[in-house]
Amino acid sequence: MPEFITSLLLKLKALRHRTQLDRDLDDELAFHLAMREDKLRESGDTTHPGKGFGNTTLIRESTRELWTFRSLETLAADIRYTLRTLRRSPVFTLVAIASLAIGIGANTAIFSLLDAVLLRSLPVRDPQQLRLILWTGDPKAPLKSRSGYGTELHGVHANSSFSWSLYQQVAALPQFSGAIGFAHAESTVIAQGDSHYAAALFATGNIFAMLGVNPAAGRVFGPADDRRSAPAAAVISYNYWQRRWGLDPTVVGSTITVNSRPVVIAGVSEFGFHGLEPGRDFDLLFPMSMVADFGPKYYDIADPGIWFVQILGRLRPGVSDSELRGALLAVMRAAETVPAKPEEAKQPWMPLVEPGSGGVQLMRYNAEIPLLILAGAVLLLLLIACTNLASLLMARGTGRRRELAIRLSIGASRFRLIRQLLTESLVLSLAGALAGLAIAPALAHTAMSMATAGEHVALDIQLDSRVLLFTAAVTVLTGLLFGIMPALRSTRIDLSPSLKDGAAGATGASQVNLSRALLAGQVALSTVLLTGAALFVRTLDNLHHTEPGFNTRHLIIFTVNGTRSGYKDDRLTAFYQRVDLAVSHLPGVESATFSSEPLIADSMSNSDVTIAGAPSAERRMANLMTVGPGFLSALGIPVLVGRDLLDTDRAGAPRVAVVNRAFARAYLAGQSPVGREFYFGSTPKDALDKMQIIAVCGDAKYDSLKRAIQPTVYMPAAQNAEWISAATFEVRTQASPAALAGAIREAVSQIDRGVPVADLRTQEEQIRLSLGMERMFAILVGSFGLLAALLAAIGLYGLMAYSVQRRMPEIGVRLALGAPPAGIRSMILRDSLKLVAIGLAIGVPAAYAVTRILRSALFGVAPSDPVSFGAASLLMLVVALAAAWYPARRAARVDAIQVLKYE
Amino acid sequence: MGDKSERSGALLQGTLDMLVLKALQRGPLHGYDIAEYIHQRSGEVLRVEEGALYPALHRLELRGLLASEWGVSTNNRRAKYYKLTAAGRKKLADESHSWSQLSFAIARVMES
Repeated sequence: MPEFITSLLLKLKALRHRTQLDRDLDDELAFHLAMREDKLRESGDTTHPGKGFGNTTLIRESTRELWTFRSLETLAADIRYTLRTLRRSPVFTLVAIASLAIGIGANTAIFSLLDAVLLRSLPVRDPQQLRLILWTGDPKAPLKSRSGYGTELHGVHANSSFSWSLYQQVAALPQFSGAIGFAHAESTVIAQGDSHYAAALFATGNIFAMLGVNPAAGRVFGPADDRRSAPAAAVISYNYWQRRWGLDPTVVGSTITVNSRPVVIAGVSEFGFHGLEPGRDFDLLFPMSMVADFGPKYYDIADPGIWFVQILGRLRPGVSDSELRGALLAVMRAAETVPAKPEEAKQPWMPLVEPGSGGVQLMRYNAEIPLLILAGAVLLLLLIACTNLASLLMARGTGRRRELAIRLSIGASRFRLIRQLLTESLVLSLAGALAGLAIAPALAHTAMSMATAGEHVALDIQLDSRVLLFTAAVTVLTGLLFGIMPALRSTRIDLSPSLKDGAAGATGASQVNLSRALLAGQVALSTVLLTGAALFVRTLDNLHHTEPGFNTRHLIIFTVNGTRSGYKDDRLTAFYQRVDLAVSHLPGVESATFSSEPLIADSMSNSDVTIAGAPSAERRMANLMTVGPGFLSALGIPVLVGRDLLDTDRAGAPRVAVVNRAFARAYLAGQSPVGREFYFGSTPKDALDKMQIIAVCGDAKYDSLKRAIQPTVYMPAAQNAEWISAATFEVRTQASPAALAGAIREAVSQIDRGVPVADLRTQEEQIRLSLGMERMFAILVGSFGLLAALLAAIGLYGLMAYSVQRRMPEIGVRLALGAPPAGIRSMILRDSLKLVAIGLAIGVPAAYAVTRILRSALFGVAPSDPVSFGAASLLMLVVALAAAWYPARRAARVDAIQVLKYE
Repeated sequence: MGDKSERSGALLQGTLDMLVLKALQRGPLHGYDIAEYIHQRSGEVLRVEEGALYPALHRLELRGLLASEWGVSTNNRRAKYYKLTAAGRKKLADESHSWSQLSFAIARVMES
């Protein structure tokens, strides 16, 4: 058994009667001393009664060590001492704990987001065995339409979806113990006399057994449910059960209407299971065999050319990823039945095997860069808080030099003092961390809801054990980081001058120099953070001042989807026109129209077009917007030549379209487009495919304020039913959305009770939501920057106040010799400015190097934007003056006689 | 408990422990007498430092090899008397045995 355990056991054994042991030992030693004295007296030597006995205290202490937990007790004493010291300087303590709380709290918050988005596993059995199958390259297999997603991954373009028949071959591979095929879709639900949209997940019947997910109520599916002949049934998620049904157990077994068909709710899935893609929770889960009835028309399991199935497989134990890749490659090669066209350079079709423990990590691809930017900002903030505290502690250390010198002179070891001082900084960082943990969840949720505004992103942010471990590590590192240098410095003391009168010796001066260096570093770090903040604020400001090209004021928008309620083709556009008419007759409504896409909502459709008689015959891309009658005038997009689209441009009438100026400029080299014909694709099927351009309108933003305006075609919905599924209505009214919402819902439900109204808001709100990420950066990084400036002010103030006090005799002499007080004041202010100037000299080039990383997150400003750099530097200079103002004034008011007398 | 590390690591401490146990073989003694006993029996060669003696006594007591009680010394002072426990006796027997083996072995080497 190791020695320390033996001694620990002895200590524990002695724990019960320690006071008794202590008392006994004292008596015992006293007895020994008495005996020895007797003996010495007998031998005639009375001068040194204790001679040869050694140091009684030392003997006592080395014996006591047997039963005392010395290091723990020293720690407790250190902590008690620390608390006493901190209580004596409440302002310092408050500044320290508050700045650490924000620094550590912000780091914890961002790490908890990183954890939720990048690190966390699905709550399923053995998630590390799961593999997500993607592909890259150009398949020579039949491929007509592709759903799912595409993303850049490891430098290649990765696609997520396969045809149903490919899924079946992959799932049958011996390398897998099982593989889930799945696809996401929207659905329209009617239940309890109310209709709403819900997120549907179609998955093969093995999903629950393979993942080990149990029912919370009722039952979950097995493979037997995944058959064409099985009755229509769905499993609902726990969240949906809670949100829509208030956890009502009688919901299990009841029938609801989904996409106009009856469905029995078979059960509720386990609490905590949100589906296979973090951030995209499912409401209803259907067996894949029901995709024909409840999925969109472009999900077809019978057609090998329609790719919509994503694959999540469970690797058999002992099988490597490369074995799996080989097997997948064989399946893919066998499926390549379409002869390659020699004229097109094609990349080989290759499988990608990705870790599936976190499910589909689509959010990761979008959130990674913003999160890393935020992580950089909060790390910078914490470093700033650390340097600030280090320099404050250094100043305190100087103030405590006499105390430390006394303790050193009466025999405290330097190590012991360093330990005491480090205990102090660790207590501070621990207190900061506890306060930080209290604010972290709120900060994480704020950042998340700002960044994802408008979309419902269900992200499970929690302070799990990994986050807490991170916080603990950050806390200790922080405490050591800001504590170690001041502790080393302030215990390196030349005893005699310090004890004499506390006047500044050489040590004091070098300590001040170190404080100054730290502060200059802090100013440099703050400059980097402030410059980044200024760039984000400028970005948001630029976006606010970006003209959308249409009138966004007094415009209410809402979305209706009739495709899952029995409407299609001409009936669908007729339905939308009825809604349009009904809404436009509501009291207070000036005009109403609709479009296939909402504006400024990152939603867009496009196609390649061929323009008859255009200067070049090559194919060109255009954004498409399918719209209701009077769309341009209702939105306030000016018609420059020709006329708006009208009621009379209906099915059967000559096909017409309006193009924007960007279209005319880019594709017709300034010639008038009016009267020209164009069609989609490269060859028209028949004359009906052709459309005539009847007007040119002004340029208006489409999917995003950030994107430059693209060549765009506006075409009437009545003539282009195949281009519209959901419709967004734009209603011009002086009424508030709250006032009109009820009337709008009522009007729509009078036309069809089964079609819900969604996303009702003002167009301005929609634009605000679309700028969520930019607003989050501007507000969060901006506040961090201001905080950094405040900390710099506190640090500078502390240093300047201390330096004035230290230079008091010198100032007194100067004044006595006739220096004007104003000169003294400007001397102190210059001192502070000089410090900040040094900080800027480091910080500005550092910021120049760092801000280049932000390029993708900026709009309308270059990363080297001189205004942002200037603003950040100016702010730091203002901080320098403001922080030094009071100490400078005090210096100028020094009473020379008093000071010199004291000297 | 801890025997192995003691024997290998701290010969002196182990030896002192053994001498203390030996001193108590005849009956209870207080700390001062233990030191005196060792001093005299060694022909005034070994001096036991108090700084080593008292930690050793308390360690042995905590380990259960010694028991102690307060009594009155010959010159009428209150003194703490130590005596061997059963475990202490067994330990002393073990130690004496291995000590005689060891010293015999060393003697043979030195005399050869």
